[in-house]
Amino acid sequence: MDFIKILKIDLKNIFSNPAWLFMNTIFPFVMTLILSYLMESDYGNSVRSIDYFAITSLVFTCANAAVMAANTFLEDRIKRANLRIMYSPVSKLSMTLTKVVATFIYVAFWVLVLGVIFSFVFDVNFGNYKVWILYVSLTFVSSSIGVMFAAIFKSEETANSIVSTFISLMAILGGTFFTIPKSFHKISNVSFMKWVNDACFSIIYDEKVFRILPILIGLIIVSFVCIIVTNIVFKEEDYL
Amino acid sequence: MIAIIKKNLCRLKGQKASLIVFLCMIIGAISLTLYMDNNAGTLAHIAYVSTENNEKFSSQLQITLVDEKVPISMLVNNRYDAIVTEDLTITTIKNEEFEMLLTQLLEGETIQTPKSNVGETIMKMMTMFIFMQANFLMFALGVDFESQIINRILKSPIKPIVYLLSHILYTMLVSTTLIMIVLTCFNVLGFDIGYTLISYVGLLIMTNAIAASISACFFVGFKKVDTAAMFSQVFTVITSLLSGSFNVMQNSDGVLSRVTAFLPQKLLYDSLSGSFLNFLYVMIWISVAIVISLWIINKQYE
Repeated sequence: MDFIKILKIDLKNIFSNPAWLFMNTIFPFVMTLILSYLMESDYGNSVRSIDYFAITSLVFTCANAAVMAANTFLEDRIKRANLRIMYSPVSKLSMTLTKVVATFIYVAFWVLVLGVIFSFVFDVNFGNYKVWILYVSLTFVSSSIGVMFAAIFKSEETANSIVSTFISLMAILGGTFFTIPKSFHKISNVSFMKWVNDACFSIIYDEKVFRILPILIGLIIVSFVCIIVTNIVFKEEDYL
Repeated sequence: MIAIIKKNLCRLKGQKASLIVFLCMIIGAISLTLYMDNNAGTLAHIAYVSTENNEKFSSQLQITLVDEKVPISMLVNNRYDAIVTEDLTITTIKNEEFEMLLTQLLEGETIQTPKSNVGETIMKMMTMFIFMQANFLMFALGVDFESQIINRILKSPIKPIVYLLSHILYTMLVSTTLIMIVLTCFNVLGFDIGYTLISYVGLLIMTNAIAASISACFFVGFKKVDTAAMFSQVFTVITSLLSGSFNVMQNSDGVLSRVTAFLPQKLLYDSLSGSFLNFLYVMIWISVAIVISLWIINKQYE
């Protein structure tokens, strides 16, 4: 019950923040259009630039949930309310998990909306439902990672800068802003966004049975580890 | 001014982890550029469906022998530029121009390509990270505004312009020093970094000045650290891409190119070729950003 109540308040907080709305709707939308336009001449007719960048931009948006989750945990306005909750008879897990779930619901919702727009307006090929499962799972993992970073670094500015830089680096290595140079494919394998991008393209273009289960299990394990680490590392006193 | 810079340096002591992350990214960007420069002779990477190599092919082709056609997704994620069979049938997702170029290379022709300037490419790879680093270093200013410390600061005998310039100078100082250490290491190790170290000092001071002044504008304007940081990041990513960072600008004709011509990063890249006019535009950007920040401070806090 406590979990649902806190979750509702967290969702209300997130949905009423115009900056988050911009970051999860207009930014990925504009970025996709700009990148598609810039790289248009590099692509032929079978796979258009927007077919590439719509997929990678949405993966980037899902991953950016980490930045948002870190902020929902440490934002000054929310911190004070959280501090009160912490000293009430509510489990620590409810406090941290609600931030993960609220961010996940918010980002997943907008990613789905953007996907529908790209699909219907720009006729982007999203393959089948497995791509959406990957998006949703990645959003959950990213939310967990964000809250974990927030618990580890304890300061909004440090968590914010490290998480956003980390996500940008992963995005660059993952081929979000430009296709990865061939000689860098081995190094780029360190980027989790590259795994998801590659998985999405395999599902869409190879028309073969793609085994989504190992990736899903991997992502769930990462989330689980992050949530456990958050609850071990996070101490109420850190909020003071 | 010196007192503010000193205080900011003290505040930075607790954020070594972030600085290390940025340093790693700068090192990564420079390494990537140097690596790509060494491999600049290769024009296309093909998956050749055959058991033995065709000696007729141009040396500008990188060839991987495969038993059967590779999946199309490997073309989409740029693992290969094309799949070529023994009867020279080409499968690619790239445009017709590329197909023609590939046909020439498969016939053994050598294509002349202009040599790019390593220094220019290093700057194009680093700029986005420099802007992000400036954003991070400007957090000190953002926190002063969010926590209302600015009210106390402005009640002291310090002038708003001095306070603002102190933060900008601090950002320039820290960022330029860190990147120069990295570049000096690469230079000492014998890598060709394109420009001289003195030239890099000038370029980095200019880049950091514009990054810091724009970032300051965001933090002063939004007052909430997370919102300012987010919008600043969005601005950095979009303007960097539009300006041709990472060499992504392929479609450079039309209305967009006229708009992007005035973006700060684009002006910086154009000034690398020694254009004084672009240098002047960069100075105008810095001045405008500082004037806007000062105007906001004066309007709201005095």
